[in-house]
Amino acid sequence: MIWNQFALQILNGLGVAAILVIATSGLAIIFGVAGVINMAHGTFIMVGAYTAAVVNKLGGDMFMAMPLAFVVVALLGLAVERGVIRWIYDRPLETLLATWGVAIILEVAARLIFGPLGLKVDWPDLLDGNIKLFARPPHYPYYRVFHIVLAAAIMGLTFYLLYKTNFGLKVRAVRRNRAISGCMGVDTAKIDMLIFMYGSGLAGVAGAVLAPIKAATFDMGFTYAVSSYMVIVLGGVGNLLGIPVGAFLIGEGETLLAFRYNTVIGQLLVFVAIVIAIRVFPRGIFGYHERR
Amino acid sequence: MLRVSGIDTYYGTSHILHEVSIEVDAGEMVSVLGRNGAGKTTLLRSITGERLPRLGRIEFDGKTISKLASHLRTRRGISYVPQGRQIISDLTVSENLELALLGVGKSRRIPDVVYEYFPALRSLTGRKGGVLSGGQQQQLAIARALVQEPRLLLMDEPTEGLQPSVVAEIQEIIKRIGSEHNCAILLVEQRLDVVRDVARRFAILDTGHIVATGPIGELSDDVVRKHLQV
Ligand SMILES: Nc1ncnc2c1ncn2[C@@H]1O[C@H](COP(=O)(O)OP(=O)(O)O)[C@@H](O)[C@H]1O
Ligand SMILES: [Mg+2]
Repeated sequence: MIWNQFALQILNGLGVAAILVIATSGLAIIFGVAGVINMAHGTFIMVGAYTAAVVNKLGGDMFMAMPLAFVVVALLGLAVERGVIRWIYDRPLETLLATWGVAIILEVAARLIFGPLGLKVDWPDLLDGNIKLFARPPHYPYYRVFHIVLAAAIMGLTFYLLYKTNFGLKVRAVRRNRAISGCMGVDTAKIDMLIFMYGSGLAGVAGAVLAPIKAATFDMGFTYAVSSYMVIVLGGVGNLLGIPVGAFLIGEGETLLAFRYNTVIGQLLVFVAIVIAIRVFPRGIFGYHERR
Repeated sequence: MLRVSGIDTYYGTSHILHEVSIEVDAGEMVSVLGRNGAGKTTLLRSITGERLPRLGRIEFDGKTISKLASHLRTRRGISYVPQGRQIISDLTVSENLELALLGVGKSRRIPDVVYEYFPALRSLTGRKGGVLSGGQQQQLAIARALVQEPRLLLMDEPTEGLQPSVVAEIQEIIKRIGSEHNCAILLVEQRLDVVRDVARRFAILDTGHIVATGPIGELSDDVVRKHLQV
Protein backbone atom coordinates (compact mmCIF):
# COMPACT_ATOMS: atom_id res chain seq x y z
CA MET A 1 0.00 0.00 0.00
CA ILE A 2 2.66 2.53 0.96
CA TRP A 3 4.62 1.51 -2.11
CA ASN A 4 1.61 2.13 -4.31
CA GLN A 5 1.31 5.60 -2.82
CA PHE A 6 4.97 6.26 -3.42
CA ALA A 7 4.87 5.04 -7.02
CA LEU A 8 1.87 7.26 -7.64
CA GLN A 9 3.76 10.26 -6.26
CA ILE A 10 6.67 9.53 -8.58
CA LEU A 11 4.24 9.43 -11.49
CA ASN A 12 2.57 12.63 -10.32
CA GLY A 13 6.01 14.23 -10.16
CA LEU A 14 6.55 13.12 -13.74
CA GLY A 15 3.30 14.84 -14.69
CA VAL A 16 4.42 18.05 -13.00
CA ALA A 17 7.78 17.77 -14.77
CA ALA A 18 5.93 17.36 -18.07
CA ILE A 19 3.99 20.57 -17.43
CA LEU A 20 7.28 22.31 -16.66
CA VAL A 21 8.78 21.05 -19.94
CA ILE A 22 5.71 22.24 -21.86
CA ALA A 23 5.79 25.64 -20.18
CA THR A 24 9.57 26.12 -20.45
CA SER A 25 10.63 24.80 -23.86
CA GLY A 26 9.66 27.94 -25.79
CA LEU A 27 11.50 30.22 -23.39
CA ALA A 28 14.51 27.93 -23.40
CA ILE A 29 14.93 27.68 -27.16
CA ILE A 30 14.70 31.45 -27.59
CA PHE A 31 17.25 31.97 -24.83
CA GLY A 32 19.47 29.13 -26.07
CA VAL A 33 19.65 30.26 -29.69
CA ALA A 34 18.90 33.97 -29.84
CA GLY A 35 20.29 34.75 -26.37
CA VAL A 36 17.19 36.69 -25.35
CA ILE A 37 15.42 36.18 -22.04
CA ASN A 38 11.82 36.81 -22.99
CA MET A 39 10.19 38.41 -19.97
CA ALA A 40 6.89 38.24 -21.86
CA HIS A 41 7.04 34.43 -21.97
CA GLY A 42 4.42 34.04 -19.23
CA THR A 43 2.04 36.40 -21.00
CA PHE A 44 2.64 34.52 -24.26
CA ILE A 45 1.38 31.43 -22.39
CA MET A 46 -1.57 33.51 -21.24
CA VAL A 47 -2.39 34.51 -24.83
CA GLY A 48 -2.34 30.82 -25.78
CA ALA A 49 -4.71 30.10 -22.91
CA TYR A 50 -7.17 32.79 -24.01
CA THR A 51 -6.96 31.46 -27.55
CA ALA A 52 -8.09 28.10 -26.15
CA ALA A 53 -10.83 29.81 -24.14
CA VAL A 54 -12.15 31.52 -27.26
CA VAL A 55 -12.01 28.28 -29.24
CA ASN A 56 -13.85 26.63 -26.36
CA LYS A 57 -16.57 29.30 -26.43
CA LEU A 58 -17.01 28.74 -30.14
CA GLY A 59 -17.54 25.05 -29.54
CA GLY A 60 -14.06 23.71 -30.26
CA ASP A 61 -11.99 21.70 -27.81
CA MET A 62 -8.46 21.93 -26.48
CA PHE A 63 -7.00 19.74 -29.23
CA MET A 64 -8.28 22.14 -31.87
CA ALA A 65 -7.01 25.08 -29.85
CA MET A 66 -3.41 23.77 -29.71
CA PRO A 67 -2.41 24.38 -33.36
CA LEU A 68 -4.34 27.65 -33.42
CA ALA A 69 -2.63 28.85 -30.25
CA PHE A 70 0.72 27.93 -31.83
CA VAL A 71 -0.03 30.08 -34.87
CA VAL A 72 -1.52 33.00 -32.94
CA VAL A 73 1.36 33.28 -30.48
CA ALA A 74 4.00 32.60 -33.14
CA LEU A 75 2.61 35.60 -35.04
CA LEU A 76 2.63 37.60 -31.81
CA GLY A 77 6.28 36.57 -31.37
CA LEU A 78 6.99 37.62 -34.94
CA ALA A 79 5.51 41.06 -34.28
CA VAL A 80 7.53 41.49 -31.07
CA GLU A 81 10.76 40.29 -32.70
CA ARG A 82 10.42 42.41 -35.84
CA GLY A 83 9.03 45.41 -34.01
CA VAL A 84 11.28 45.54 -30.97
CA ILE A 85 13.83 42.83 -30.27
CA ARG A 86 15.71 42.82 -33.53
CA TRP A 87 16.96 46.33 -32.93
CA ILE A 88 18.37 45.52 -29.48
CA TYR A 89 19.57 41.89 -29.69
CA ASP A 90 23.07 42.73 -28.51
CA ARG A 91 21.87 44.81 -25.52
CA PRO A 92 20.65 42.22 -22.99
CA LEU A 93 19.35 44.68 -20.39
CA GLU A 94 17.28 46.47 -22.97
CA THR A 95 15.77 43.22 -24.24
CA LEU A 96 14.78 42.42 -20.64
CA LEU A 97 13.09 45.79 -20.24
CA ALA A 98 11.48 45.75 -23.66
CA THR A 99 10.00 42.26 -23.28
CA TRP A 100 8.84 43.18 -19.80
CA GLY A 101 7.07 46.14 -21.35
CA VAL A 102 5.44 43.81 -23.85
CA ALA A 103 4.29 41.63 -20.95
CA ILE A 104 2.62 44.57 -19.19
CA ILE A 105 0.86 45.67 -22.38
CA LEU A 106 -0.42 42.14 -23.05
CA GLU A 107 -1.64 41.73 -19.49
CA VAL A 108 -3.51 45.03 -19.55
CA ALA A 109 -4.97 44.20 -22.96
CA ALA A 110 -6.14 40.75 -21.80
CA ARG A 111 -7.79 42.31 -18.78
CA LEU A 112 -9.54 44.93 -20.89
CA ILE A 113 -10.75 42.42 -23.45
CA PHE A 114 -11.67 39.45 -21.27
CA GLY A 115 -12.28 41.09 -17.91
CA PRO A 116 -10.67 40.47 -14.53
CA LEU A 117 -12.26 37.06 -14.02
CA GLY A 118 -10.90 33.93 -15.61
CA LEU A 119 -12.41 32.07 -18.54
CA LYS A 120 -12.94 28.41 -17.98
CA VAL A 121 -11.67 25.95 -20.56
CA ASP A 122 -13.17 22.46 -20.59
CA TRP A 123 -11.15 19.30 -20.61
CA PRO A 124 -11.66 17.40 -23.84
CA ASP A 125 -13.80 14.32 -23.26
CA LEU A 126 -10.94 12.13 -24.36
CA LEU A 127 -8.93 13.13 -21.28
CA ASP A 128 -11.71 12.40 -18.80
CA GLY A 129 -11.01 9.44 -16.64
CA ASN A 130 -8.15 7.54 -15.09
CA ILE A 131 -5.77 4.73 -15.73
CA LYS A 132 -6.30 2.09 -13.03
CA LEU A 133 -2.71 1.36 -12.12
CA PHE A 134 -3.57 -0.30 -8.84
CA ALA A 135 -6.58 -2.20 -7.60
CA ARG A 136 -7.76 0.69 -5.46
CA PRO A 137 -7.92 4.45 -6.04
CA PRO A 138 -6.36 6.96 -6.33
CA HIS A 139 -5.81 6.25 -10.02
CA TYR A 140 -3.62 8.08 -12.50
CA PRO A 141 -5.53 10.64 -14.57
CA TYR A 142 -5.42 10.59 -18.38
CA TYR A 143 -4.60 14.28 -18.56
CA ARG A 144 -1.27 13.61 -16.82
CA VAL A 145 -0.50 10.94 -19.38
CA PHE A 146 -1.34 13.47 -22.08
CA HIS A 147 1.04 16.04 -20.57
CA ILE A 148 3.84 13.50 -20.48
CA VAL A 149 3.24 12.47 -24.10
CA LEU A 150 3.05 16.10 -25.22
CA ALA A 151 6.25 17.03 -23.37
CA ALA A 152 8.03 14.12 -25.04
CA ALA A 153 6.58 15.15 -28.41
CA ILE A 154 7.77 18.74 -28.02
CA MET A 155 11.28 17.57 -27.11
CA GLY A 156 11.23 15.08 -29.99
CA LEU A 157 10.05 17.65 -32.51
CA THR A 158 12.63 20.16 -31.34
CA PHE A 159 15.37 17.54 -31.52
CA TYR A 160 14.27 16.62 -35.02
CA LEU A 161 14.22 20.25 -36.12
CA LEU A 162 17.66 21.00 -34.70
CA TYR A 163 19.50 17.84 -35.66
CA LYS A 164 17.77 16.45 -38.75
CA THR A 165 16.90 19.43 -40.91
CA ASN A 166 18.79 22.05 -42.92
CA PHE A 167 17.14 24.71 -40.78
CA GLY A 168 18.48 23.02 -37.65
CA LEU A 169 22.03 22.93 -38.98
CA LYS A 170 21.86 26.67 -39.55
CA VAL A 171 20.39 27.19 -36.08
CA ARG A 172 23.19 25.23 -34.42
CA ALA A 173 25.79 27.17 -36.39
CA VAL A 174 24.25 30.55 -35.60
CA ARG A 175 24.06 29.66 -31.93
CA ARG A 176 27.78 28.97 -31.91
CA ASN A 177 29.08 31.76 -34.09
CA ARG A 178 26.71 34.27 -35.57
CA ALA A 179 29.28 36.33 -37.47
CA ILE A 180 30.93 33.39 -39.20
CA SER A 181 27.58 31.79 -40.00
CA GLY A 182 26.66 35.04 -41.74
CA CYS A 183 29.90 34.89 -43.72
CA MET A 184 29.01 31.31 -44.71
CA GLY A 185 25.84 32.69 -46.31
CA VAL A 186 23.37 32.04 -43.50
CA ASP A 187 20.73 34.73 -43.07
CA THR A 188 21.26 34.95 -39.33
CA ALA A 189 18.54 37.57 -38.77
CA LYS A 190 16.01 35.22 -40.35
CA ILE A 191 17.17 32.34 -38.15
CA ASP A 192 16.73 34.49 -35.04
CA MET A 193 13.29 35.50 -36.25
CA LEU A 194 12.14 31.95 -36.99
CA ILE A 195 13.44 30.70 -33.65
CA PHE A 196 11.60 33.49 -31.90
CA MET A 197 8.43 32.45 -33.71
CA TYR A 198 8.92 28.77 -32.92
CA GLY A 199 9.60 29.43 -29.23
CA SER A 200 6.63 31.77 -29.01
CA GLY A 201 4.41 29.21 -30.74
CA LEU A 202 5.44 26.63 -28.14
CA ALA A 203 4.44 29.08 -25.40
CA GLY A 204 1.06 29.34 -27.12
CA VAL A 205 0.61 25.57 -27.13
CA ALA A 206 1.59 25.54 -23.46
CA GLY A 207 -1.17 28.05 -22.72
CA ALA A 208 -3.78 26.07 -24.63
CA VAL A 209 -2.84 22.89 -22.78
CA LEU A 210 -2.52 24.45 -19.33
CA ALA A 211 -5.71 26.51 -19.50
CA PRO A 212 -8.06 23.63 -18.55
CA ILE A 213 -6.09 22.92 -15.35
CA LYS A 214 -7.37 26.11 -13.72
CA ALA A 215 -8.68 28.69 -16.17
CA ALA A 216 -7.39 31.32 -18.56
CA THR A 217 -6.66 34.38 -16.43
CA PHE A 218 -4.85 37.59 -17.32
CA ASP A 219 -2.24 37.02 -14.59
CA MET A 220 -1.71 33.26 -15.03
CA GLY A 221 1.57 33.77 -16.88
CA PHE A 222 3.47 34.85 -13.82
CA THR A 223 3.51 31.49 -12.03
CA TYR A 224 4.49 29.58 -15.14
CA ALA A 225 7.14 32.13 -16.02
CA VAL A 226 8.75 31.82 -12.59
CA SER A 227 8.86 28.02 -12.79
CA SER A 228 10.24 28.26 -16.32
CA TYR A 229 13.07 30.53 -15.24
CA MET A 230 13.87 28.08 -12.43
CA VAL A 231 13.98 25.15 -14.85
CA ILE A 232 16.38 27.06 -17.11
CA VAL A 233 18.57 28.24 -14.26
CA LEU A 234 18.85 24.65 -13.00
CA GLY A 235 19.08 22.77 -16.31
CA GLY A 236 20.81 25.28 -18.54
CA VAL A 237 20.20 25.55 -22.26
CA GLY A 238 23.63 24.45 -23.54
CA ASN A 239 22.05 21.14 -24.48
CA LEU A 240 18.51 20.06 -25.31
CA LEU A 241 18.59 17.79 -22.26
CA GLY A 242 18.81 20.74 -19.87
CA ILE A 243 15.07 21.38 -19.89
CA PRO A 244 13.78 17.83 -19.28
CA VAL A 245 16.46 17.18 -16.66
CA GLY A 246 15.81 20.47 -14.85
CA ALA A 247 12.05 19.91 -15.07
CA PHE A 248 12.36 16.34 -13.82
CA LEU A 249 14.41 17.34 -10.78
CA ILE A 250 12.10 20.21 -9.88
CA GLY A 251 8.87 18.32 -10.64
CA GLU A 252 9.82 15.25 -8.65
CA GLY A 253 11.40 17.29 -5.88
CA GLU A 254 8.32 19.44 -5.37
CA THR A 255 5.90 16.54 -5.59
CA LEU A 256 7.73 14.18 -3.27
CA LEU A 257 8.48 16.87 -0.70
CA ALA A 258 4.88 18.05 -0.83
CA PHE A 259 3.84 14.42 -0.20
CA ARG A 260 6.24 14.13 2.73
CA TYR A 261 5.60 17.58 4.24
CA ASN A 262 3.29 20.02 2.41
CA THR A 263 3.21 22.04 -0.81
CA VAL A 264 4.71 25.22 0.61
CA ILE A 265 7.58 23.43 2.31
CA GLY A 266 8.11 21.39 -0.87
CA GLN A 267 8.47 24.49 -3.02
CA LEU A 268 10.64 26.18 -0.44
CA LEU A 269 13.03 23.23 -0.18
CA VAL A 270 13.26 22.92 -3.96
CA PHE A 271 14.02 26.63 -4.20
CA VAL A 272 16.79 26.27 -1.60
CA ALA A 273 18.12 23.22 -3.47
CA ILE A 274 18.24 25.23 -6.71
CA VAL A 275 20.14 28.03 -4.99
CA ILE A 276 22.67 25.47 -3.77
CA ALA A 277 22.83 23.84 -7.22
CA ILE A 278 23.67 27.20 -8.80
CA ARG A 279 26.80 27.33 -6.62
CA VAL A 280 27.89 24.02 -8.14
CA PHE A 281 26.61 24.68 -11.70
CA PRO A 282 26.67 28.46 -12.13
CA ARG A 283 25.35 28.14 -15.68
CA GLY A 284 22.94 25.30 -15.05
CA ILE A 285 23.71 21.62 -15.35
CA PHE A 286 24.18 21.81 -19.13
CA GLY A 287 25.46 25.41 -19.30
CA TYR A 288 24.70 27.99 -21.98
CA HIS A 289 26.49 30.25 -24.44
CA GLU A 290 26.41 34.00 -24.55
CA ARG A 291 24.97 35.50 -27.72
CA ARG A 292 27.78 36.06 -30.25
CA MET B 1 35.80 43.04 -59.83
CA LEU B 2 36.30 44.22 -56.23
CA ARG B 3 36.82 47.89 -55.69
CA VAL B 4 37.24 49.29 -52.19
CA SER B 5 37.26 53.10 -52.33
CA GLY B 6 38.32 55.23 -49.39
CA ILE B 7 36.71 53.30 -46.54
CA ASP B 8 36.90 54.31 -42.88
CA THR B 9 36.05 51.55 -40.42
CA TYR B 10 35.67 51.83 -36.66
CA TYR B 11 35.24 49.60 -33.63
CA GLY B 12 33.04 51.81 -31.50
CA THR B 13 35.05 55.00 -31.20
CA SER B 14 38.42 53.57 -32.27
CA HIS B 15 39.12 54.61 -35.82
CA ILE B 16 40.90 51.65 -37.45
CA LEU B 17 40.89 52.09 -41.24
CA HIS B 18 41.62 55.49 -42.78
CA GLU B 19 40.54 56.04 -46.38
CA VAL B 20 41.63 52.60 -47.45
CA SER B 21 41.39 51.78 -51.14
CA ILE B 22 42.27 48.55 -52.88
CA GLU B 23 41.21 46.77 -56.07
CA VAL B 24 41.20 43.16 -57.14
CA ASP B 25 40.55 42.14 -60.76
CA ALA B 26 38.85 38.90 -61.77
CA GLY B 27 41.11 35.91 -61.27
CA GLU B 28 43.84 38.05 -59.76
CA MET B 29 45.87 37.30 -56.62
CA VAL B 30 46.52 40.33 -54.42
CA SER B 31 48.25 40.24 -51.06
CA VAL B 32 47.76 42.58 -48.13
CA LEU B 33 50.66 42.91 -45.72
CA GLY B 34 51.11 44.78 -42.49
CA ARG B 35 52.22 44.46 -38.91
CA ASN B 36 49.97 43.04 -36.23
CA GLY B 37 47.18 45.45 -35.50
CA ALA B 38 47.58 47.34 -38.78
CA GLY B 39 43.96 46.69 -39.71
CA LYS B 40 44.25 43.78 -42.18
CA THR B 41 41.53 41.68 -40.58
CA THR B 42 39.36 44.78 -40.21
CA LEU B 43 39.73 45.38 -43.95
CA LEU B 44 38.54 41.85 -44.74
CA ARG B 45 35.68 42.19 -42.25
CA SER B 46 34.62 45.38 -43.98
CA ILE B 47 34.46 43.44 -47.24
CA THR B 48 32.52 40.50 -45.74
CA GLY B 49 30.10 42.82 -43.98
CA GLU B 50 31.03 41.81 -40.46
CA ARG B 51 31.94 45.47 -39.84
CA LEU B 52 30.25 48.18 -41.86
CA PRO B 53 32.57 51.05 -42.87
CA ARG B 54 31.30 54.48 -41.88
CA LEU B 55 32.66 56.18 -44.97
CA GLY B 56 33.67 55.12 -48.45
CA ARG B 57 32.33 52.54 -50.82
CA ILE B 58 32.82 48.86 -51.62
CA GLU B 59 31.81 47.62 -55.07
CA PHE B 60 31.64 44.07 -56.36
CA ASP B 61 30.94 43.47 -60.04
CA GLY B 62 30.26 47.18 -60.39
CA LYS B 63 27.50 47.17 -57.77
CA THR B 64 27.79 48.82 -54.37
CA ILE B 65 27.73 46.29 -51.54
CA SER B 66 28.88 48.54 -48.67
CA LYS B 67 25.59 48.21 -46.77
CA LEU B 68 24.68 44.67 -47.79
CA ALA B 69 24.26 41.97 -45.10
CA SER B 70 27.09 39.41 -44.88
CA HIS B 71 25.14 36.48 -46.21
CA LEU B 72 24.10 38.35 -49.35
CA ARG B 73 27.72 39.17 -50.16
CA THR B 74 28.58 35.50 -49.79
CA ARG B 75 25.75 34.57 -52.13
CA ARG B 76 27.12 37.01 -54.70
CA GLY B 77 30.40 35.13 -54.77
CA ILE B 78 32.62 36.35 -51.95
CA SER B 79 33.86 33.57 -49.65
CA TYR B 80 35.95 33.98 -46.55
CA VAL B 81 38.68 32.00 -44.83
CA PRO B 82 38.88 33.86 -41.52
CA GLN B 83 41.89 34.33 -39.29
CA GLY B 84 42.14 31.56 -36.71
CA ARG B 85 39.98 29.32 -39.03
CA GLN B 86 36.77 29.89 -37.02
CA ILE B 87 35.55 26.37 -37.62
CA ILE B 88 32.23 25.86 -35.87
CA SER B 89 33.58 23.64 -33.16
CA ASP B 90 30.55 21.56 -32.21
CA LEU B 91 29.54 20.84 -35.79
CA THR B 92 31.21 17.91 -37.52
CA VAL B 93 33.54 18.35 -40.48
CA SER B 94 30.68 17.34 -42.81
CA GLU B 95 28.27 19.72 -41.13
CA ASN B 96 30.70 22.60 -41.44
CA LEU B 97 30.94 21.92 -45.17
CA GLU B 98 27.18 21.40 -45.50
CA LEU B 99 26.56 24.71 -43.79
CA ALA B 100 28.72 26.46 -46.37
CA LEU B 101 26.82 24.67 -49.15
CA LEU B 102 23.40 25.55 -47.74
CA GLY B 103 24.55 29.13 -47.23
CA VAL B 104 24.89 29.66 -50.98
CA GLY B 105 21.73 27.71 -51.81
CA LYS B 106 23.40 24.46 -52.87
CA SER B 107 22.33 20.99 -51.78
CA ARG B 108 24.05 19.36 -48.79
CA ARG B 109 25.97 16.88 -50.95
CA ILE B 110 29.68 17.47 -50.39
CA PRO B 111 31.39 17.76 -53.79
CA ASP B 112 34.42 15.59 -54.65
CA VAL B 113 36.59 18.64 -55.12
CA VAL B 114 36.95 18.79 -51.33
CA TYR B 115 38.71 15.44 -51.20
CA GLU B 116 40.73 16.13 -54.35
CA TYR B 117 42.23 19.13 -52.61
CA PHE B 118 42.25 17.69 -49.11
CA PRO B 119 42.37 13.88 -49.11
CA ALA B 120 43.01 13.96 -45.36
CA LEU B 121 39.53 15.33 -44.70
CA ARG B 122 37.84 12.22 -46.08
CA SER B 123 38.47 10.16 -42.96
CA LEU B 124 37.54 13.03 -40.65
CA THR B 125 34.04 13.81 -41.87
CA GLY B 126 32.32 12.60 -38.68
CA ARG B 127 34.67 14.39 -36.30
CA LYS B 128 33.70 17.54 -34.47
CA GLY B 129 35.45 20.58 -35.94
CA GLY B 130 36.81 21.52 -32.55
CA VAL B 131 38.97 18.41 -32.15
CA LEU B 132 40.92 18.81 -35.43
CA SER B 133 44.56 19.90 -35.46
CA GLY B 134 45.39 23.42 -36.60
CA GLY B 135 46.43 22.20 -40.05
CA GLN B 136 43.28 20.10 -40.46
CA GLN B 137 41.13 23.03 -39.37
CA GLN B 138 42.85 25.23 -41.92
CA GLN B 139 42.14 22.67 -44.63
CA LEU B 140 38.51 22.58 -43.55
CA ALA B 141 38.30 26.38 -43.51
CA ILE B 142 39.59 26.52 -47.08
CA ALA B 143 37.38 23.61 -48.18
CA ARG B 144 34.38 25.36 -46.68
CA ALA B 145 35.05 28.38 -48.88
CA LEU B 146 35.92 26.26 -51.92
CA VAL B 147 32.60 24.37 -52.00
CA GLN B 148 30.85 27.72 -52.40
CA GLU B 149 32.61 28.16 -55.77
CA PRO B 150 33.42 31.80 -55.04
CA ARG B 151 34.68 34.32 -57.57
CA LEU B 152 36.52 36.18 -54.86
CA LEU B 153 38.20 34.44 -51.96
CA LEU B 154 39.28 36.41 -48.89
CA MET B 155 41.96 34.63 -46.88
CA ASP B 156 43.22 35.90 -43.55
CA GLU B 157 46.64 34.54 -42.54
CA PRO B 158 45.98 30.95 -43.66
CA THR B 159 49.49 29.81 -42.69
CA GLU B 160 49.48 31.37 -39.21
CA GLY B 161 50.62 28.99 -36.49
CA LEU B 162 51.21 26.02 -38.80
CA GLN B 163 54.28 23.77 -39.09
CA PRO B 164 56.57 24.51 -42.06
CA SER B 165 55.53 21.36 -43.96
CA VAL B 166 51.86 22.29 -43.61
CA VAL B 167 52.63 25.87 -44.64
CA ALA B 168 54.09 24.57 -47.89
CA GLU B 169 50.96 22.50 -48.51
CA ILE B 170 48.63 25.43 -47.94
CA GLN B 171 50.83 27.58 -50.17
CA GLU B 172 50.41 25.06 -53.03
CA ILE B 173 46.67 24.91 -52.42
CA ILE B 174 46.37 28.68 -52.68
CA LYS B 175 48.18 28.66 -56.02
CA ARG B 176 46.07 25.78 -57.24
CA ILE B 177 42.78 27.49 -56.33
CA GLY B 178 43.90 30.63 -58.14
CA SER B 179 44.81 28.79 -61.33
CA GLU B 180 42.22 25.98 -61.47
CA HIS B 181 39.15 27.88 -60.33
CA ASN B 182 39.72 31.22 -61.95
CA CYS B 183 39.01 32.67 -58.55
CA ALA B 184 40.40 36.01 -57.45
CA ILE B 185 42.12 35.91 -54.08
CA LEU B 186 42.72 38.69 -51.59
CA LEU B 187 45.32 37.17 -49.30
CA VAL B 188 46.36 38.60 -45.96
CA GLU B 189 49.69 36.98 -45.15
CA GLN B 190 52.67 37.76 -42.93
CA ARG B 191 55.14 35.35 -44.55
CA LEU B 192 56.99 37.28 -47.24
CA ASP B 193 58.22 34.13 -49.00
CA VAL B 194 54.65 32.93 -49.43
CA VAL B 195 53.48 36.33 -50.65
CA ARG B 196 56.35 36.62 -53.15
CA ASP B 197 55.56 33.14 -54.45
CA VAL B 198 51.79 33.42 -54.92
CA ALA B 199 50.75 37.07 -55.29
CA ARG B 200 50.80 39.25 -58.39
CA ARG B 201 50.33 42.54 -56.58
CA PHE B 202 50.66 43.72 -53.00
CA ALA B 203 49.33 46.44 -50.71
CA ILE B 204 50.74 47.37 -47.33
CA LEU B 205 48.63 48.58 -44.44
CA ASP B 206 50.33 50.58 -41.71
CA THR B 207 48.18 51.73 -38.76
CA GLY B 208 45.12 51.75 -40.92
CA HIS B 209 46.59 53.55 -43.93
CA ILE B 210 47.59 52.03 -47.26
CA VAL B 211 51.21 53.11 -47.50
CA ALA B 212 52.48 51.18 -50.52
CA THR B 213 51.02 49.22 -53.41
CA GLY B 214 52.40 47.80 -56.61
CA PRO B 215 53.33 44.69 -58.58
CA ILE B 216 54.94 42.08 -56.38
CA GLY B 217 58.37 42.79 -57.92
CA GLU B 218 58.32 46.20 -56.26
CA LEU B 219 58.07 44.72 -52.77
CA SER B 220 61.64 45.82 -52.00
CA ASP B 221 63.66 45.22 -48.86
CA ASP B 222 63.43 48.95 -48.23
CA VAL B 223 59.64 48.86 -48.16
CA VAL B 224 59.70 45.78 -45.97
CA ARG B 225 62.08 47.41 -43.49
CA LYS B 226 60.04 50.59 -43.34
CA HIS B 227 56.55 49.16 -42.95
CA LEU B 228 56.70 45.51 -41.94
CA GLN B 229 59.58 44.93 -39.58
CA VAL B 230 58.94 45.49 -35.91
N1 LIG C 1 36.54 43.66 -31.88
C1 LIG C 1 37.38 44.70 -31.72
N2 LIG C 1 37.06 45.71 -30.89
C2 LIG C 1 37.88 46.77 -30.74
N3 LIG C 1 39.06 46.90 -31.35
C3 LIG C 1 39.46 45.93 -32.19
C4 LIG C 1 38.63 44.78 -32.43
N4 LIG C 1 39.27 43.98 -33.29
C5 LIG C 1 40.42 44.60 -33.59
N5 LIG C 1 40.54 45.76 -32.93
C6 LIG C 1 41.65 46.71 -33.04
O1 LIG C 1 41.74 47.15 -34.38
C7 LIG C 1 43.08 47.26 -34.79
C8 LIG C 1 43.28 46.46 -36.07
O2 LIG C 1 43.06 45.09 -35.79
P1 LIG C 1 43.12 44.00 -36.91
O3 LIG C 1 42.34 44.47 -38.08
O4 LIG C 1 42.73 42.73 -36.29
O5 LIG C 1 44.65 43.99 -37.27
P2 LIG C 1 45.53 42.94 -38.07
O6 LIG C 1 44.61 41.92 -38.65
O7 LIG C 1 46.23 43.74 -39.10
O8 LIG C 1 46.48 42.34 -37.09
C9 LIG C 1 43.93 46.78 -33.63
O9 LIG C 1 44.41 47.91 -32.95
C10 LIG C 1 42.97 46.03 -32.76
O10 LIG C 1 43.32 46.15 -31.41
MG1 LIG D 1 44.47 39.92 -38.35
